[in-house]
Amino acid sequence: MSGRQFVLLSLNGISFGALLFLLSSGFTLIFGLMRIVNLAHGSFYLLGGYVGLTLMQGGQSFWVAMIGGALAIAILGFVVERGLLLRVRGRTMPEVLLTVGLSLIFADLALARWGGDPILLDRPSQFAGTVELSGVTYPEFRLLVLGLGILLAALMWILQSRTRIGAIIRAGVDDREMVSALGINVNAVFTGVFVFGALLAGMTGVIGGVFLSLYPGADGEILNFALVVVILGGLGDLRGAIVGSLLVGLIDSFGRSLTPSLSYFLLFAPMALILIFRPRGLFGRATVD
Amino acid sequence: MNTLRLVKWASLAAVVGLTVALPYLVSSFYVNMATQMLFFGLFALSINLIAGYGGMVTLGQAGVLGIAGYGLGIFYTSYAVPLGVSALLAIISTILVAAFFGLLLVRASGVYFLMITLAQGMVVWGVAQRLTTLTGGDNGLRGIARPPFAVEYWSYYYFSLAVVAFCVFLIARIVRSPFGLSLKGVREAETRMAPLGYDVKRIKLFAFTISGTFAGVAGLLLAMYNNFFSPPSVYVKASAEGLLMSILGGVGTITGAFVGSGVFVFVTNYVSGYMERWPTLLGLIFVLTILFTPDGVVGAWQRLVWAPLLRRYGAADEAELIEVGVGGGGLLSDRDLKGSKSAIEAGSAAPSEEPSEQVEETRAGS
Amino acid sequence: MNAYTSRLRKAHIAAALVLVLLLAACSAPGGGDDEGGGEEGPIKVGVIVPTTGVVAAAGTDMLNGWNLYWEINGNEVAGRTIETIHEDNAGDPTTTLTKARKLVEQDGAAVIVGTLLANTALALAEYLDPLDDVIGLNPAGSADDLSQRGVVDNYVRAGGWQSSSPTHVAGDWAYEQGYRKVITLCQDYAFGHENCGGFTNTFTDRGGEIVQQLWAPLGTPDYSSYLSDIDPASADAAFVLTVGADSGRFVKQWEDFGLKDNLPLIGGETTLEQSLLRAMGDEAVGLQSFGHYAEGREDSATQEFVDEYVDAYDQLPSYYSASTYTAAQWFAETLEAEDGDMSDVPAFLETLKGYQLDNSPFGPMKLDEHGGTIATMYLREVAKDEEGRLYNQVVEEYPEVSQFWNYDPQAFLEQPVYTREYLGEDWPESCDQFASDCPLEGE
Repeated sequence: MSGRQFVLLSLNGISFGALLFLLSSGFTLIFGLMRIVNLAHGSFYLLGGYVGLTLMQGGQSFWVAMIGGALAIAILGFVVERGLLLRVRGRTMPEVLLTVGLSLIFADLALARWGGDPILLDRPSQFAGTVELSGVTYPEFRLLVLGLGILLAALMWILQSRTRIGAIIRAGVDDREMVSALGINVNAVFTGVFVFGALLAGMTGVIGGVFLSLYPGADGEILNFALVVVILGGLGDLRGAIVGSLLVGLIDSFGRSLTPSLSYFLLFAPMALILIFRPRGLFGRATVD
Repeated sequence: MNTLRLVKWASLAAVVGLTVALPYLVSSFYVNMATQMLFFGLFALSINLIAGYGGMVTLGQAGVLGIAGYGLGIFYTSYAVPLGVSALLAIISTILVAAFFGLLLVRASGVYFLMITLAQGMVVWGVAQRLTTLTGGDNGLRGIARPPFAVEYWSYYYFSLAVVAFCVFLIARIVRSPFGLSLKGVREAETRMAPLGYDVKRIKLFAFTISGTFAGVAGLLLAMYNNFFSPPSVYVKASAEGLLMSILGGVGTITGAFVGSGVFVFVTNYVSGYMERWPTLLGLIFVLTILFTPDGVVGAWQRLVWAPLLRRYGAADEAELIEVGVGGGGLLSDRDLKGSKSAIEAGSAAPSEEPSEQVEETRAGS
Repeated sequence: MNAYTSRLRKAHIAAALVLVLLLAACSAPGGGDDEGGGEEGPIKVGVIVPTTGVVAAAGTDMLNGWNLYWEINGNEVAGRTIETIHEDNAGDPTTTLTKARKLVEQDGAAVIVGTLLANTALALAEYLDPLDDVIGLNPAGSADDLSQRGVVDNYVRAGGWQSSSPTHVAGDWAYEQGYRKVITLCQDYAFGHENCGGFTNTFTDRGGEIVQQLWAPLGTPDYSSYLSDIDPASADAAFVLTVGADSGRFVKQWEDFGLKDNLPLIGGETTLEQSLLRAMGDEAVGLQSFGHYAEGREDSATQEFVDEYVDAYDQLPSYYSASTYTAAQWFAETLEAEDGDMSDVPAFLETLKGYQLDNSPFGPMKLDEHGGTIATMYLREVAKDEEGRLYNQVVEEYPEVSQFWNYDPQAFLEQPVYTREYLGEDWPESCDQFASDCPLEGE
């Protein structure tokens, strides 16, 4: 492997990892706190991207589209959480299965509204070019995604470790009973976290529309990656999401290059191993279920 | 009470009669739909066996089904092994793989169980997709034959009926056996099983392997029905659809699996010809079932129609049995948290199929 | 009742059931399906194309093309009404079988048109094979073997093609261009294998060398890993075959990673076809590819079709649209020639297969004795029209390209179909295996 190739593969892995972090940080938070594997998270991502597409077709900039996609999906997340998930609160399987049903519906409705053509969103004009990094041509937009990933990680770090909300969430991940015993409105916290996760998914959808393109089936593909990230990283753990995202991004990048036919196993084999030997993930802590 | 029993037997006889006479009554299209309903029902039942009776929800069962389908295709088309032997080898492969998967699963429960099975299903799909020399990759395997005596649509229907009926008979026996009861014990109160002297891991492993075997039989029927097997049949979506059928009909019941597969086959074969947004309909049915009748169509029927009837005709104890939901629903309700009549304690973990008879048998035994 | 009598009763019931089952299974139920073919009355045609699922866009193009032909020409041929029944297969092989059964057994369709993806076409072929009274038209399922090693007699490539036909030309052309070292990047499934096989086979015949082979699974979210593997200095050109959503991502990233200006790209048909160009931007302009269709072909047959299509659907037609349009034309003109009589299916099939289109949106088209399409192949270049739409304009035409290229058909058929393991690099070994223009001697 040449030096140039190594640099490129690393950059690719890290920037893809950053995109995965944007998506899976919300996913893992929902998982950790609410014990819900939100299998509609991929749909949130795709729908967010499509909302962004509609805004951009209406002449709005990438940035407006990104915020619009995020807000639209936050509202959708609120409706799903309050309207549906609340009705089956605390019962793990119905919650998970409900999100499976929703993902079927969202995928079909998205197809009805936006059609089946794969669509690549336009890059923001400020980040449309390429840069030369030690002899390697690299698109600026990917570096922007990397920057956004770092920014979000920092924000969430501060939120979790320095604020009251963060403390409640951390406590909630470890022991839900205790939080409610302290007189905190658990349902409000749950809704808040779910909406926040949806917001991030919607925002990531618009970014992903530029990075990877939007099409029917993109919801399932990205969800698979997010699942692997969360399983590797462990539930509700910010560090886990960061390390998991980077790991998955790099495994994917180098795996595809080194053993294309095995790249799929390179992704899923560590996941299966982790599940068997460290079922709570690399950084997962023992929790009170 | 006797009237009620009469009604029950009469309707049962009608169902059996219709099932047997079906090819003489309707066109080949509907007979083919019924055939699909049979093997998808068996597939849903295999999920039911671990999800409904054992509380282990899988999103990877289509992967297990695929081992049999691909096994049959590979032995029969690539190595020209006779069909019957190929089927046998395929089932043996399925049992081995299911047992191996089961070994990886024994420590997991709940959401983790679901995710490991999801990953296992993805691995099988990945192999089917990538190992093109063996599986034909995306193009799948063509030329899988039906048994020489069951080539026609109607003879294949009878063949499937016989195979599925036999499997249902076996499953009904298993569910009522001591093993079936201990499996329910795992669902109701896993942590309490060990002190009672049960080897929970072994029970789970055994249950997963048995369930996988039946999924394998469904896979054989599917492959022979289509003369063809390809990766979409083992994809996560197929697993989710199996789960959907199982839940829609009613987890933990035998009839439920077939009611669920009936609805599914009807929507995908018939409604889809008239309604473009049929996947949305399928999703809606799924969501509404989970929200409003988590015990499925069969559960709702028993709760809302059958139990009141029983009560009116003076069989209050049977009605109560149904109302506390001995048969199923434990998966989707939180009854286990509240700790109602636990199956092990009551020692009467009767499947809801034939409540009247079960009660009598229990009485006779005690 | 005690447990013993209960068990006894069950045994009786079981025995009775088995008996009834055996009796019922002994005699065949009657009931012939009413057929939509025959001599008179409406002809029912079932069209199976995906209008949901991942390939919904291309499937919709197919449906549009089919409908457009009947809208323009009227749905009455030789006194018989053509009734179209569309069924969606969502791009799934099993659903394809379900829908084919429904169309034939329930609706009485005499003709089945479809489908798109090779795997669904193979499944449909499997269903049609034993039926002696149903005719299948295959406008888009391009799996090589459907007209080579796995021919299904009543499944006819009307308006269809073979995956490796355009790339046989491409491999030969690449050598002519002076390229000696080429990198190939193909989608890792049957269609990709056949495309890369065609290119590799003819390019290496001439003495060219494939210096690097990359395989990307269908649905690769990110091509950057593959692109970073490509060192522009190590090769003269790259042959690339991507499909569907992968194509958009690939073409964008080809530019992003600075390869567009540094390494000539030879595209396969589906990397730069119209239904995908709709979503692409300037990154695609100027890229060249080989295909059996070019919407920019400057010929009245193509341009009239394009104009009608734009009027009806407000977008340029892809090869998917042209395929079903041509299949409709093919079928209608055969029916006309047979005076509307479909009662003798084998005779009808023979006329259908012997039919030659002197011109069509694809150009002239006919079938060889194996049922393979002999048609014009195009070297195409993506350009932008006055309205800012991207389209493929014709750079070069290669008329009457056979599915066997210049090889001897018999020798070719003795080889396996192209797979990842067999790309024809070392074949043919001698000029005996060529029918014409053997390149082995000249070198």
